[in-house]
Amino acid sequence: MTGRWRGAVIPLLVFLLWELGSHAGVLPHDTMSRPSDIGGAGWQALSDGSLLYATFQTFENALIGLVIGTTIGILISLPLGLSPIVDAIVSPTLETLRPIPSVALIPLALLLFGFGLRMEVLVVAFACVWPVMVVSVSAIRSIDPRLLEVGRMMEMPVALRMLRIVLPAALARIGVGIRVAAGVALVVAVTVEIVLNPQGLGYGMISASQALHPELMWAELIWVGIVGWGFNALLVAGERIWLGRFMVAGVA
Amino acid sequence: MQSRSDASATTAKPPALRMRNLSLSYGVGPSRKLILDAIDLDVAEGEFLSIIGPSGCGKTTLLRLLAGLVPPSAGEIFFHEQPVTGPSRSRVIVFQDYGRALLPWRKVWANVALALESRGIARAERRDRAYALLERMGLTAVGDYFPGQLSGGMQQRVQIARALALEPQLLLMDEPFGALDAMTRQALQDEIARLALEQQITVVFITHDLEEAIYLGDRVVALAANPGRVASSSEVDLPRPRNQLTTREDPRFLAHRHRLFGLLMDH
Repeated sequence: MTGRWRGAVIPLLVFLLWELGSHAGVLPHDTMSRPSDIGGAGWQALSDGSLLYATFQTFENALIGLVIGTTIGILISLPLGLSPIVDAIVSPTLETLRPIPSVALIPLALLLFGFGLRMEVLVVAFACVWPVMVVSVSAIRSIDPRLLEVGRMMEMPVALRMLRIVLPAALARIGVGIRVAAGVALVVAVTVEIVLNPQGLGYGMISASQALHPELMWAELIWVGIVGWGFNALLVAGERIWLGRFMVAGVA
Repeated sequence: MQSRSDASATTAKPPALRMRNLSLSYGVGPSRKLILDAIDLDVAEGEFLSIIGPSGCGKTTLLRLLAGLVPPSAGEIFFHEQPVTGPSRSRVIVFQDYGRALLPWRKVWANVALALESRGIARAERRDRAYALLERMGLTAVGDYFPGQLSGGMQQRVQIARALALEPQLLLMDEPFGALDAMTRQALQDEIARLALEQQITVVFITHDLEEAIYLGDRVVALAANPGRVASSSEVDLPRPRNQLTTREDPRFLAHRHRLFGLLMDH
């Protein structure tokens, strides 16, 4: 535990200067709400359950999108990473899809599913496919060819070879890709909610802003940061527990 | 126990392994490099064939061709009269670099069990059968370790146990003891000789160690380099089981050593 408190120094200092600056009239307190007001609004939103419910909605959307996007990303990366021929055929198409901003999918997603979970999940999943795919392909390409030869020598069926050799050998690095995608998932989920989807933390923020409750908007903004930090910490811990023994894997 | 070397020369049975005009080259046009040039070799069933040669003579490449990991540029390989077109569980390679060939995230027994799984052996049986194989290699105590926690000699034993789990008819060994210390190497030499004799497995054993080639082989084939080709083939008429002290002091052993040493120096 020693030393952990150091990470809190900067936020606390910022809040302190902010509060003082606001009282001194340096900061416009009608938009830059005072930290004390933000804290009050945040506490209220937490205690009446609205913030937790919005968090649950955003989290649910982000997580489902992350799982779907990760699964697709890994599945694409297997043939792409293992076969130069597949790579040559498929990569140009994928590289054309990849630069499309996920937010640009919102109109299409709305047409397909209307408001709600499915539309948001589609956009999040699209955004999550790419970081997972890029990292997985490079992880699979750097698997020691000797391990793949062992699989061939054993005449393993393709599925078994993927499951027993390729994926475990690449897993430690795929984990990093999933962690990047998790950050993206949260960002995209909140964005979709701000732009269109009437649920979750993003919708809460845009509503608070439009209702001229900047202190509530600030509280939710800071809350999103805390949720994202917690999500990442959770994933890091999960990686350590579940992927620890794959860290020594045949991937440089 | 008699020498099995007579099998290779006078057998009525067709050879286990036949190489015909086997060639391999990399590249095309003027940059084309011939690695192996028209290798013709037969290996009898149950024979222990040692292959020696200077570095760069294509020994390892030859073994990879026999395993079916690499297709030849020209020529053919027949294993029990069937053309070799790809890897097979019946022709198992034991790699020199055991550290890269074992799955580091799987415990020792699970590495062996993977070979059993690939043969379609039921999950419930795998652990016991893996441990039975580990026992044969003297590895029972380290079954629950990860490969990275073992010494080089132990890791190579694990790789051999895993190869045996595939119940191969042909064992292809690529300088398997090259990276081990002298004592470990001698112990493993005797073990592999015993295994080959007990199981009647055909073995092609690559080494750059002249004495190892003679000590283990029913026959020693010397390759010459640039391009790799067969320089000589000689029967080793030493009785089995062989002994690290007496066999190596046997005048016939020394005669082989002298002749092959001179041969390798010429090339």
